[in-house]
Amino acid sequence: MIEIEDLQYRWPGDEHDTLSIERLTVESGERFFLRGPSGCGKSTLLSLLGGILVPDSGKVTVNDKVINRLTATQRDRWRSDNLGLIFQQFNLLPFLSVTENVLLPCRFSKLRLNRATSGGHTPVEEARRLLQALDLNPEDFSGTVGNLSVGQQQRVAAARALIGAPPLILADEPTAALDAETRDRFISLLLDEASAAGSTVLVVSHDLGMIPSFDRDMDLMSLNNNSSSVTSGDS
Amino acid sequence: MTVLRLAFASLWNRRSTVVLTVLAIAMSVALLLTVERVRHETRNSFANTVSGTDLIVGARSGSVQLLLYSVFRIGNATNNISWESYQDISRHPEVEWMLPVSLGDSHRGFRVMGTSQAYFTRFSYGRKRQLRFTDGQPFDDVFDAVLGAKVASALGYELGQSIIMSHGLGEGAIYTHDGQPFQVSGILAPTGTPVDRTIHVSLEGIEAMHVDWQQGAKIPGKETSLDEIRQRELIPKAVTAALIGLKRKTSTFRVQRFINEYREEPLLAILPGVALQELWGLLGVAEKALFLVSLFVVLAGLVGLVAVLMAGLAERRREMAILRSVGARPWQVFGLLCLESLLLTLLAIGVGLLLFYAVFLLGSQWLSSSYGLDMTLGLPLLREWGILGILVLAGLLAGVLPGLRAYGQSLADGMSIRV
Repeated sequence: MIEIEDLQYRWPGDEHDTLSIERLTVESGERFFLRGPSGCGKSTLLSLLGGILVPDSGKVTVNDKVINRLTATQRDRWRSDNLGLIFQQFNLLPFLSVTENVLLPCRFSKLRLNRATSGGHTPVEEARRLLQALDLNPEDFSGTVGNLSVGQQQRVAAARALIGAPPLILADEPTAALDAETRDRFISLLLDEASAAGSTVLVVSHDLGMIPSFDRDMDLMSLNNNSSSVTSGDS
Repeated sequence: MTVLRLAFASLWNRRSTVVLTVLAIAMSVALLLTVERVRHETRNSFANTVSGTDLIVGARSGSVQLLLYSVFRIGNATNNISWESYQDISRHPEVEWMLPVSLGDSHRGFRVMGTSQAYFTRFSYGRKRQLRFTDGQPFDDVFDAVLGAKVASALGYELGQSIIMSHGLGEGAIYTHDGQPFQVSGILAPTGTPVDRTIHVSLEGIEAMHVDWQQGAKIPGKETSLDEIRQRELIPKAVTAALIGLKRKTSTFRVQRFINEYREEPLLAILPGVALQELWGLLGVAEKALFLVSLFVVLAGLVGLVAVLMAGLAERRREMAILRSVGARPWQVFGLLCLESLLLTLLAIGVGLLLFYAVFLLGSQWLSSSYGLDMTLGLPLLREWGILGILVLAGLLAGVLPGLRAYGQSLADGMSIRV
């Protein structure tokens, strides 16, 4: 699913490479955990995988597509079709309902809309199914986002990342705002649903407590040949 | 479609901050429309007031002044035409008809005009429309009066009503002609011109009112009876102005020259159309200035809109990043801002139109009663639609700057949230 070869990336103005990765492979359907402290280049790596940043050299292949060879517009399109994203916190648009938040990717990607409705139901039904699968009650997702707890909000974000079964789900510290109990529940629900959808999951975090839930884990510090020289540029 | 829904939802979410901006633009739009409509209606109503009159004659003064006091009943004459000169001119071979206009008295704020019976058949307004009676007939007796439509409706007068004229103009005229009450003999149909607000009496009637007067003041203790007045030969000494219809249009300039070079008395003859043009020339500067000022008020409103959208962007970085993360392209983020600006402008125009009509409904009454300007309430005119169209475009353009900023931000931030 993910194939990184001889990747090098340096933030403009920096003296040293932020990231220098010789090789990283993540298999399709794998649940992959990438650990590392803050400031080691995790978010930069995610941006490279998401096609927001382009490496200075090397190759980033995701789902058999060399994304660093696409144009900016092609990458935009590719991203909306192939990627589900979960951030640390405040993932949701406060002015949309819970269901509408979940449906957002289907509004920007026809492919994901088609996949979401392939089971013969409407997009809204699919969104509700996902929300319920992620242990949210119908009375929770009929209201506005603001009434939800942080844990519930993260599960709504997960449902949004999952809708339309994107081949790859990237999560950047998705449990940072959760306590240990809700964290474990969140991760297991996310991974179960991703498996059901056949999505590959890559989570980056410094929270080592959830490693047991994953198929494989790796330390970015050891992966990154230039980790000692990281100065700034991400969080 | 998605972007439009997002724009709606996002704006609704920020309604408390945008509502004032919308209101500011709405008020400026209403102002612009009002200025434009008043300008249009004023021109229309002025242009419709006289038609078929080839020349207007008065004492020598400015042509605009003569036009204003003779037909629009605005301002006062500085001097009169002597009755001898009037008769002399009316005997000119090219003159088909000549209508005297004798002003100077009033009744409860409405002006009294002395004229001849021919006025009701010769005078025309708008597109050669004749005066029409809804009730009664032209004055016949010395003490008969014919009311304009507005006079009758405003004062609730009907045929046979007895009215007392005041000497001079204005509501609070002190001296009254209470010894010579007039009777309403006819009421005219509405014309939308100053005729509606005029009380017409015969020239003899004007003389009769002033029988016991000398040098602009009543002679104390003198009360000539009405019948005695009727017996007298009432010949006017002078009239304020006169309207002339010619036998042939081609002789207009010849007759005009004849009057302007009249030896017995300094007189002035004007072509109503030419004087009207002169009036527009005078008013044009003021009109343009007003229009420009209101245009700048709208511009200020739009700049306020840009400022509000720009200020909002800083706190909406997260929103943009989320949108990007769920697949929105940078140009869609740009479009979102433009759409928001457009929607707000459209809303402001809508509210502005409502405000405009509200002002219009309230103000037209006042304009009509104090200036005799009858405004017609209707759909926006072609030119107004044009102005609104330009405003819509300006609203869309106002979104470009914040749109570009958001575009740049979302390119730089990508999907990472940097707040």
